[in-house]
Amino acid sequence: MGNIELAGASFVVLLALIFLRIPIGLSMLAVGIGGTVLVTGSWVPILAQMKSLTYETFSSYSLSIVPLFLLMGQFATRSGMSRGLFRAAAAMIGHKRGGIAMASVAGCAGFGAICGSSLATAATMAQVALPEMKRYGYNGALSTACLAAGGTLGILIPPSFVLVIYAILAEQNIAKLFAAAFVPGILAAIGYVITISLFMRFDPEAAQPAAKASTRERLEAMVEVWPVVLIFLLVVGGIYAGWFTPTEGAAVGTAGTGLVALFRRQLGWSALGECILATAVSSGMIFFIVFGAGVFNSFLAFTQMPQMAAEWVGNAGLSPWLVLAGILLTYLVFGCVMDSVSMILLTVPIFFPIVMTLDFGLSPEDTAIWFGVLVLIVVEVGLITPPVGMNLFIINSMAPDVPLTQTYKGVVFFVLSDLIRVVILAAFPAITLAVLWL
Amino acid sequence: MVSQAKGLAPRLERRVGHVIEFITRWLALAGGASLVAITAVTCISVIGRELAGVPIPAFEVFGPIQGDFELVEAGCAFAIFSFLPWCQMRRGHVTVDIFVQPLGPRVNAGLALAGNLLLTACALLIAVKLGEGLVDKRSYSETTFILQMPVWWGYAVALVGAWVFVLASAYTVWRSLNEMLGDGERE
Amino acid sequence: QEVTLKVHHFLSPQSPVPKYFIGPWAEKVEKDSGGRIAVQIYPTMQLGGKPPSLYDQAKDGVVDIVWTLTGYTPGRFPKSEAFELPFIAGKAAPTSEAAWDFYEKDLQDEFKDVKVIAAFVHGPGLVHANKPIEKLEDMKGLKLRGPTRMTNKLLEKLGAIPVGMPVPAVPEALSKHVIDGAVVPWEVSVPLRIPELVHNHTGFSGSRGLYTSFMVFAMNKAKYDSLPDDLKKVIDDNSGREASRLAGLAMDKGDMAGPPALAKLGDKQTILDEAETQRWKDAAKDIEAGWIEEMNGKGLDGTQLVKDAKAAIDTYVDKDQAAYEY
Ligand code: NA
Ligand code: NA
Repeated sequence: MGNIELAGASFVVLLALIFLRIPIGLSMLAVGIGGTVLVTGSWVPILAQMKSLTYETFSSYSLSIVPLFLLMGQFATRSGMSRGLFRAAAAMIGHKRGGIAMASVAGCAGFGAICGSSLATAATMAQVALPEMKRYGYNGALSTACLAAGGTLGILIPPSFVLVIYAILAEQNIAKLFAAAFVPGILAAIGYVITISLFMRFDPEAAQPAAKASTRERLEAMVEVWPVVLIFLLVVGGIYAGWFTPTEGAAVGTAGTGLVALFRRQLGWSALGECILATAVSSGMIFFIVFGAGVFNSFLAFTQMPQMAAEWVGNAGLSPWLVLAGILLTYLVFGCVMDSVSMILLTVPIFFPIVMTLDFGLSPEDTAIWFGVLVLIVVEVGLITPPVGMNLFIINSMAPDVPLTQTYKGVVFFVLSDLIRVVILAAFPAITLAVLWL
Repeated sequence: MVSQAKGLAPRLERRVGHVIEFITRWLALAGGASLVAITAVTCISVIGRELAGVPIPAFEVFGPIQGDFELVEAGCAFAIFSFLPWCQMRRGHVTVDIFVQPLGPRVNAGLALAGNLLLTACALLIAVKLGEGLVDKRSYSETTFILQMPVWWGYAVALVGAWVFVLASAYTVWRSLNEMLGDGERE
Repeated sequence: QEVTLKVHHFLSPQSPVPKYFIGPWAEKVEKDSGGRIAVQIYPTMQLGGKPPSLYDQAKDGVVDIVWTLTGYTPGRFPKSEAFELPFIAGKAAPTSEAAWDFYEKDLQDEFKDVKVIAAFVHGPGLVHANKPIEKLEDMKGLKLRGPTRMTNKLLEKLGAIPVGMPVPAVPEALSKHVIDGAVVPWEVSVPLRIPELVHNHTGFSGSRGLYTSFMVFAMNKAKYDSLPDDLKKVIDDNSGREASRLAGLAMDKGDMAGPPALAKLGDKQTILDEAETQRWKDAAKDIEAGWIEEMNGKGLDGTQLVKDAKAAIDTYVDKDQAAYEY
């Protein structure tokens, strides 16, 4: 069997294992190990890799943001802060159709402005928003799908870990990329809000509107929400003002919410234990997936399949727009099984030089930045496309009473909104680049 | 209770389950303590670093904690290794259930059995190889960049979690076997 | 072809070493072997792991050849650190030739697990900061990302606050003023976009730079031993001092992109005059003495190692520089 056939077969086996209810991370790990043995023709490489790979993956400074933000979410829930946040949101727009789902998307956008990771954004906001949406009678399809989609704002709205990696690979200006990603990120949030209102039109039973709050209730809710606002301002403001890095911001936020919970006498020893145990389950799951994905992606790199696919697209002699469409489609397909960072690492070194040879009527720097933002978006769509989308799995696992099929049904609307946005941004580069031309 | 107990030594399995639950819970709590410590170290370091930048002579005593990010990395690794067994005991790993749901609870427990067997094999591989990595790092006398803390220390504390993960995975094989022979998954 | 060699490294294919050294090296080996050897290059850690594990990947046969920095694994290659002492190394190409000689004389036991194809260094490191550095005292209180263990010690001694973070985190930290600057050579600062983020770049007078990093391009031993004699010869012919010089030249070529990038941005490059440079060198004396003591404590002859390193570097750096023009 050639390497290409092997890579193809590995996708089939991976999907089969996943559909047979083998945990996602484990499926990727097992197929990755088996595949590496086959492609290298020896057990030596994979066994040698395993000596340091687990420790290296779990001791990552940038990933340490995940358990910290999860713990912060636990403290926020425990101290009643997240409930306060949603009471405030509900008081403002809860009486609108789908208002609380919209508030969740707004929350994701706010969180995305401080956090560079989709998975962390999705998981943290879900912890806060899912119980509240359930309380207001939102159905599972809407509540899980809007959070899975909202989670992608973590990477779409700068700062974004993925953009930093793209900037380094493509040797582009990070500050300009962040600036260019901002408008598309806001458009994504707006798109999701519109999607929610359309969703409500198709399925009016999906959510019960809350009673309209009186001015007095609104004021009370706003007063109650001040600790959240304060910590949010401290974390976001501190990161933007340069007091700390995003990972440090996560630690500051965790300490802040923990202190509020302590002050409100909601964080005794047993409550702290419960917060930790809940964090342990989610963190263990996320890191095991990250580890499995790492092994699987390194296997794919060994087969050279992604590299060859990229070369094929580049050499097929098509028009610039067709090549661009082909590249974006390739990302959508790979996004079904790969994580965003590995995908970028594997393909940007190949796609980027190809794109730079094409003429879209833009300067080279504009082309590079515009392409980077488009790649960022399609990579993120991969996180929420059924059947395999990391955000879908994570949100769904946090809502045990919602069947995955419901989440799949709900997310179709959000994926459509993403695809429409990709087409618009690809057709009108000015939307992305205008910020840089000002 | 007794009528439900089917399978391979079901009552012993429950008793062993309690013991392993106890071990994994306390290990996860230890991992959580490490997260809290990471939080504290980072906050103190950030405050120290910012105060050091204040142009007041008396503030020169302040500064970041040297090597703070190395401590974060080692602490995070310990936390995650300690979380894995608890996550496994609580059935925390994400699965896609829709395609096999119609097959009924016992078939599902059977699929979980297959998954847990595969996981135990992987956990064993991870633990054995991590131990070999520890021996390597120790013989190379590799240290961290700033604190010059031996790298194998991090491996050593992580190894505890890795072996408890093997233990917990092996137990869940037994648990899902009995669930398959019984009435399906208990939770 | 008969043999495929997998080369793994941590940077993008457009960076100087992959572009000017690894790529041409691979083509030359393929050509010299009459097409019997094929070289596959995997950039950006595509095959998994983090940069510090690259050396073990070559040693254990995960891949066949790697490019790595010995500083990634502090404590493991103590003797090679002699080249990383402050103000000891010059431009990359001559210092890389010296690095090869030093390897042959003193480091063979440290690298006994692999076949070393080239031993080399990068060009002189500069201080890139958000405020002008015109004298020693300007370093006080600056939060700087330091590159090597020895340079961090020097920064600390000068009153700066060395902040540890992985290289890829540097641009973001700079853009948000979490750190005030970073100490890296031009060849790294340009791809990381550092001149766009901070605008003062300080170098030193004379033929020696602030610091460098020791690197190797190394092959799995078993893979080398498995080659037939004529293919072994192809690898041997493309190894050694000449290969090391070419790798160093790639670094120098990368450094040449620095000053033009500045001109475009209107940034300032300060070269400290001889008197000021001497003050820095004096301040660095303790670091060298401390290192010698540390090596002696490990049962190594620190004094002799520094002597050997300096002698090797003097041989090439003070030689006719025309040999290193492009
Ligand atoms: Na973000
Ligand atoms: Na997907």
